[in-house]
Amino acid sequence: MPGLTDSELLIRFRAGDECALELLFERYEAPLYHFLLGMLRNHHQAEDALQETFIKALEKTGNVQPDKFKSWLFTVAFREAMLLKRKQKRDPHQAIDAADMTADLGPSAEDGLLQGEQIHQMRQLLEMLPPAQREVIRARIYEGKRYREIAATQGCPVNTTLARMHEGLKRLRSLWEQHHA
Amino acid sequence: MPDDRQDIPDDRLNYDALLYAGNELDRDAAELFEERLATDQAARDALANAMQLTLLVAGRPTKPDPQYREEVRSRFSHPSWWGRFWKPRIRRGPALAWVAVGGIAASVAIACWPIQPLPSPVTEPVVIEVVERLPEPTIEAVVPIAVPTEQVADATPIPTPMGDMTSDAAAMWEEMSNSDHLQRVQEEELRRRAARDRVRRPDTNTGAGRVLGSTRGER
Repeated sequence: MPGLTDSELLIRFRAGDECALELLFERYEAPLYHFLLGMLRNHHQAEDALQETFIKALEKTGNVQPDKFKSWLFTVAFREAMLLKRKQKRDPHQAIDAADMTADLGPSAEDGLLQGEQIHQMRQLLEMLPPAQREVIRARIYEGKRYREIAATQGCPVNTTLARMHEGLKRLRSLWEQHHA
Repeated sequence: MPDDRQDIPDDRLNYDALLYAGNELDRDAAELFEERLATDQAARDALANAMQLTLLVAGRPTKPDPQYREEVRSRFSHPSWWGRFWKPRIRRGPALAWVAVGGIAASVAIACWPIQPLPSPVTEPVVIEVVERLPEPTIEAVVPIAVPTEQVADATPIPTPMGDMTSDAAAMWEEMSNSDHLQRVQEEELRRRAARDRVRRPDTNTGAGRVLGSTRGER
């Protein structure tokens, strides 16, 4: 069943197969959640938007070509996120402190032993990265510095800082997957 | 090392995604990136990827609270058997269900309809027996429709059906509960009265108590 295409899953879902819905969750909840979190920078809002996204997208699957289901999901998610962002603009009390990027990304490491263990392992893996990449990641994620500040500190263009960040994150993920394989 | 290489389009997209996620794009650049997010799946994937990596390294949950699944499931869960009749399903209208409900209701109504019991064959001969014993009055016996002119002119009292019947027969007629017989008697009575009225219609020209029969007899 996991090898089924989106088309096949949608056909099964329309026929009343609840396992198909679970597989659609498994397949798309993480990328949609990350996308929504990137837009909204608040994990509560991202979860609300994710729920509405699935409901609205699945209600109108009859009008969607099954091979474009992923794109349809992200389009619905984008609209939901933009609706919430407009609400935030109208209501300043709901506006988040965007300067603190990690403030609303979810429960912190101190909230759970499992996450505490995860961050400990991640810091060990971080030591395996080239120093330039490691420093950018540490300054950005653990110290909350802006890319421009990091670039100024390292004496390099912002794009270089961004490249180090991107490459470093990819490498960390690869190491993490190897570690948990 | 990536430090020295030139930006290629994919990298630019990834960098913009990192800056956008960190809210470090200026307003115009952010709006441009959002326009791209509206339609460009590559930009969406880049943003999702940037956030996933950031969450992973920051030790934050990379998956949402699974509670949202319950909410979604409840919207699309298949209702109980009676709920199927009320809640329209995806791409299935409730028409078929309504047709079935209508058919069942009609069947139940027909099955439970109170039907008048047919007269049992035991009671029928009893009625017939009673009728046979009674002197069935005929039209001629009850009311002489064609009354002789002389008799009418003499204003002879018209014999009534009760006058020819015995008191026993009258009592039996009275006790009879058969609606057919009662109706028949009623009809006979009406017919008798009509015949009497025809015979005794007053003469409107003279005001005398002439009767039709006498006029007809004079001709």
